[in-house]
Amino acid sequence: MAAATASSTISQPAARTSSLIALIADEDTVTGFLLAGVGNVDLRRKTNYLLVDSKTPVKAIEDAFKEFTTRDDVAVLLISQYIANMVRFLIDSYKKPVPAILEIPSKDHPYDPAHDSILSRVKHMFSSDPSGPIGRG
Amino acid sequence: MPAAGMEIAEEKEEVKLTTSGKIPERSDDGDDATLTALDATILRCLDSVDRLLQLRAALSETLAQGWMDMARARYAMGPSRIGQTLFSLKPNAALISVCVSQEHEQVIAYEYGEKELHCEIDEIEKRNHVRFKSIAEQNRNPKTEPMISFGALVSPHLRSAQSSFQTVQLWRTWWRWPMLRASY
Repeated sequence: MAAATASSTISQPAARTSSLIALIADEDTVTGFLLAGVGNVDLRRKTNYLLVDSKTPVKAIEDAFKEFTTRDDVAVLLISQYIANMVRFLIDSYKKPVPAILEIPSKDHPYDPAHDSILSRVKHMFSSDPSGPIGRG
Repeated sequence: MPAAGMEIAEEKEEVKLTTSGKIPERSDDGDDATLTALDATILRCLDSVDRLLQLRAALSETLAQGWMDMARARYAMGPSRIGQTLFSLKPNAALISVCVSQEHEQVIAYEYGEKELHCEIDEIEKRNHVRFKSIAEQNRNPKTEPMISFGALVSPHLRSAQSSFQTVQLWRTWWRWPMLRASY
């Protein structure tokens, strides 16, 4: 997959070459996204997805998460929310803009807004200031 | 249903930056200007959160449709015809790519598509030191069609499921979505 770049003549800030969508999800979700054309297998037979089932150890999920978030060719990481809950400490400590982490629902575990990292931050932000805007009368 | 997944990623970025907790510096006009700016920030944050929730609902609906179609296809074709045992491990490039534009370590826009994106850089963008990457065109080759892993004759429900999962990601527009450019 070739990529052409065009940069400013004034300065050239560093930009990652991100192009793939990585996936950590259950079998049906991975199958669906592979049908859509997300799957990538390199010459070393390394894939951009991890299929998680009941026998998958948490260590394997952690290793996959760390691998996908450190690869230069990954732009977005899709992870099922129930799997994200297993490695919540990793996701909460993740601060980089690329790859973007997107939690998606799974077939057996509907999306729960209570566990969404962004919504939790918004909730915390507003709950930490119960008196309202400072100085307003 | 437009690219719900990619829109959610952008909305999450926007909400992240607006909830960074940064308060505008106090101006010489006193507290009013600061409070007004803070209120605007909060409103923008809430709008982003509302948009995020709408996109999440759309994403869940599309994914549910895809899983339902896949269940129907598995019932029609047999459970052994659809599963991880049929995933191809032969070296192959992804058919879907993402083009990320960044400025000073901040993501400016996500562009998603199958064809080459002719990133037009105008003078304004040059001054903003934006660096764009275009994606090489992926000619749809029948040999690289993902569906071929599941056999030559597949259930129409499987094609419908494929369409649902493509809809989750597909972004047919060519213009760039400006991301939040500055924190408050």
